[in-house]
Amino acid sequence: MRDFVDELLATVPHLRRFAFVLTGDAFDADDLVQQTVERALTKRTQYRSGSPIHSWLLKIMQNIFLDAKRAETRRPIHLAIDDHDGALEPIEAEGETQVFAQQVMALVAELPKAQRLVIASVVVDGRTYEETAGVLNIPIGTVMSRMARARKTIYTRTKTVRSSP
Amino acid sequence: MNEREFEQLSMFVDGELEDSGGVQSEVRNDPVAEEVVKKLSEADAALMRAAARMDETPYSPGLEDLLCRLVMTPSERGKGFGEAVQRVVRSFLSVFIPAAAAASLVAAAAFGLLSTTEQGPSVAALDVKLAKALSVVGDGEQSGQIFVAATYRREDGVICRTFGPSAPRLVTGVACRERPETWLLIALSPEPGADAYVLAGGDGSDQVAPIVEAAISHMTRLEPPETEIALRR
Repeated sequence: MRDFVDELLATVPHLRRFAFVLTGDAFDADDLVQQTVERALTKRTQYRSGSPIHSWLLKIMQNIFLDAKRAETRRPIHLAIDDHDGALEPIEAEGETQVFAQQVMALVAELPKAQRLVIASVVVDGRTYEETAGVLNIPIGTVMSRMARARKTIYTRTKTVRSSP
Repeated sequence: MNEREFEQLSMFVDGELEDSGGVQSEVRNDPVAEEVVKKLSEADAALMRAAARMDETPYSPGLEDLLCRLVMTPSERGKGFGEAVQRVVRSFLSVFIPAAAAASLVAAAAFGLLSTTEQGPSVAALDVKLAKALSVVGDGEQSGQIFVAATYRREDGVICRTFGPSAPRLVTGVACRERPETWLLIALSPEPGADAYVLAGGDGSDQVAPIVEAAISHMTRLEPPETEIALRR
């Protein structure tokens, strides 16, 4: 049990980054991580010792995230380009780079949930398409098309934002 | 550019094309494709930067409480928080305090140097992450596993800060800034009692380990605006 908890605790910073990309909000991200950890503790007998705990936790997080329709209806994400309520404040010294990072985050938060999961897995966690397909339990072709669609949206919107006066 | 071409470029950016030669050549020769690849890579980097900001964001109270409960082993639950706290502290010190610095500090304390000079011996600089956190993190805030509790000014004008692990938030040491981003460890409490610490929600000013308290007893506590100004210098 101790090893399981230690491994789980070591994964928390990683889970927080992943959850932040999914939710677009620091508080909601921690809420999602908390639910994930709580569910992992109740289902710990299902975890096969020695297998990657991070992938197992992400599957749990994915299920909670996709099931959270009610919560999303209650508190929709409002992360427009010019409105960063709930997002992190920019670091002054990093200036434009940080603002662009927030714009990209805001656009990701507006993507369909399925695309957010794929882009978080590939870009933030650095998984291959094959690994992502395994973790999210979808065909690899779906990973490809969701990545491309997500990127197309971000590309088109950032281009628009940057070229507008 | 059609959907298929865009998908190819997306896969190229992710290193997912088995034979990327054709696309690579296209990217070199076609300004539009080159621009798309550049923008996609920039957006990826921006997303990673944004996600990394969570490392500097304090845990929500609910998650922090859950993690605090988790750091306690079943046997520790029966004995209270003390043992779990000490294990967290030992783990934190092993990661962020160079052994040479800790040993040198203990030796100095044994010879009474700390009580007479208020300054520790010339120990090695602290871990880079800890030094960085001490240089930029606000009072009562955290950066990853590091919690910075409060800021003080010594009689000679040097800035000192109390710090410890962030989950749970504890105060285990004091470091003073010798020069920008170089911090000297002046007090460390590796084996304190459970009641010697400030837990989540505290600001590090009301309950600290005796050795830490002794180190800051002749210092002036700075308010957050003063801290910001002092850290910029």
